[in-house]
Amino acid sequence: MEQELLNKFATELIRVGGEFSLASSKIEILKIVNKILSQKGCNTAVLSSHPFFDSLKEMGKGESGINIFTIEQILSLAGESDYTNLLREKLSQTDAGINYAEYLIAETGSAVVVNTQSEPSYLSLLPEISIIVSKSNRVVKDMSEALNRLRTENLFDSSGCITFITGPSRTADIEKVLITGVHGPKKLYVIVINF
Amino acid sequence: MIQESPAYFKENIKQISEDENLRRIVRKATSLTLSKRSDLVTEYYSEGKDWEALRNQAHEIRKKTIDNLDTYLTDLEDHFERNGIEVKHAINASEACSFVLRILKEHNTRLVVKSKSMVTEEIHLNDKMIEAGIEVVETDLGEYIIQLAGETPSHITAPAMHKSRDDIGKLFSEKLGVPFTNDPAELTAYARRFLREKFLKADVGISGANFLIAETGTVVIIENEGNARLSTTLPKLHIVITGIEKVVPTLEETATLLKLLPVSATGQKATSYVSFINSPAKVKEDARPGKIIVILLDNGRKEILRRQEVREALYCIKCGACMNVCPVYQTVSGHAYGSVYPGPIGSILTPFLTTLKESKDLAYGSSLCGACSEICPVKIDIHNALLWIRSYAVQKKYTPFIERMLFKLWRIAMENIFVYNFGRSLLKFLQPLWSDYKDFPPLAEKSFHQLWKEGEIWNKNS
Repeated sequence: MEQELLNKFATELIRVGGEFSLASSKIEILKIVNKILSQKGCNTAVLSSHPFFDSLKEMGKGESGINIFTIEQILSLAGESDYTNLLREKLSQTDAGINYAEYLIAETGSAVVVNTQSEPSYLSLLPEISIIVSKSNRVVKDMSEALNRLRTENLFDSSGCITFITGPSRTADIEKVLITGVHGPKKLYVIVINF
Repeated sequence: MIQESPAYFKENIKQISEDENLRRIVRKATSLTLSKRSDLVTEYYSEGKDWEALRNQAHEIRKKTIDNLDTYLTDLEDHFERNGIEVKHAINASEACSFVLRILKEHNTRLVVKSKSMVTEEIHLNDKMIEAGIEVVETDLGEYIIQLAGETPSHITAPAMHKSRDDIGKLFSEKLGVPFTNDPAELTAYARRFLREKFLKADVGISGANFLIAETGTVVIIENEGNARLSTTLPKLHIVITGIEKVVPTLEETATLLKLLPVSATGQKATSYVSFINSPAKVKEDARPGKIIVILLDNGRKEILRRQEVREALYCIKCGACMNVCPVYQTVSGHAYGSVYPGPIGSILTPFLTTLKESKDLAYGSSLCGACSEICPVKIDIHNALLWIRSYAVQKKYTPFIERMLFKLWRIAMENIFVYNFGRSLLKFLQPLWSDYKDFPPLAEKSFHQLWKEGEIWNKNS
């Protein structure tokens, strides 16, 4: 069942222009992220401070020469000055943002991102490349199951803003021609770790 | 010159009917969206799911909500307050605009970024803000295009549907001073660059809402570009302006509507982004607006609620599918209607947002084929509501005197065979007067009545 849902998720994600990869361990997540970043010629990336990434904080360092900041680091860098402004500035200049998704929705190929202090909304929005990481046991059937689970796990009411992300930012406002990356990311990668 | 008033529907049609290029663009866009939609509906069935059952379910949800609107609005307001979202009620357009202007003034606003909202078009908010000396930037690509062109949207989900890539290329080079290109990717990249700068500088973000969830006090916004997310997260203040009918009782019911809306609107299973906004930022680390104000607009909606015959129009979730499928819309396109909400659903809403007297012609801009009712994701009986508006306009004596007289004569003739036969014998003289735009079908040599008398009908059948 879990495998079936995951396959469906991957199919739908690819259909909306996202890219899917499977990682067998946290270390492998590192490798995939690094591969994407170097392939895309990225110099900088910002990583969510979600607890999921705790053991991966040092990721990327030394391996590919890519500078990875965490949200926590930006926060401490800001000190007494305007954090929001600094965050905007950093994320506008950074090539990629790395988020954690609480759930993945099989029916639509969507990632459910709960925007919190450790991963504010801009992270999946301002950089041109968005990388979202989640676990294989977090794939749910459809939007209604995702919303129900968010509630039962007390994530819905406690969060100020939740976003369902389905593929990269897109528009078809000019003669219905599909263009990606209109205001948000041009590319969306989802990495799922087997759990 | 196309007039922005439903009173000029007929004049606008005359003018637009000569623009073959416009018709080509609109036909292409609407049919593309329709075919993407029907592919998804077919796929839905092939996965063993029932689209029709989903529509029925959505109809019931909307019916229950609109029938008990007061209860759900109270519930919504309680939960908004609990979440720290301020609520204001505006009776009409001018009240809504003055609320907004007052808020903007209090916050010393210089730059407003807006994400697509039909309600703000309905109340002509942009004009008012610009008059007050505030810079206003539409950030949805389609809306940005028409703002640069100084026009109004011609479709509720694809506002610049009437513009060709060449039109847009010329517009951008003229207004933004960029080299001419008609490549959609390059044009989009220009818009991204110009608008990103505005997003980062904006003081206030103004958006509409697709749904307002009563049980949780949540504002739901659906979009593809990311401009709504930027408008509602970057500025320090977020103002939501929306109609009272947007409330949905529960999260579960919202999920049902979320399945139907993007399929019907753009032929997508899900849009790129669905934002569920529950509350303003509590601490600076949230990096979102510290204040959210929701303005709930009536502006004629309660009048629709009172009219049983058209009440279903409030079920509308603004997908625009009825426009895409309407043979009249496909031919005349959105601007002809002279209303913020064009097409079949717009022809029901507009008389209540303006007056029936000036907008009664819209209800006649329909062949009553019922394609609108058939495609509607929440099963609004659109064509029958249009029929009712026609009869109501006749009752109110809003139709021309000569038309009413002709129908009286028609009735007399239909009730009396001698008058009828006499009238029929005059038809060949009246034929050339029939219409400038329609061909009159050729008259048969003998009438059915004559054939019957002469026994011809029996002969043919035997």
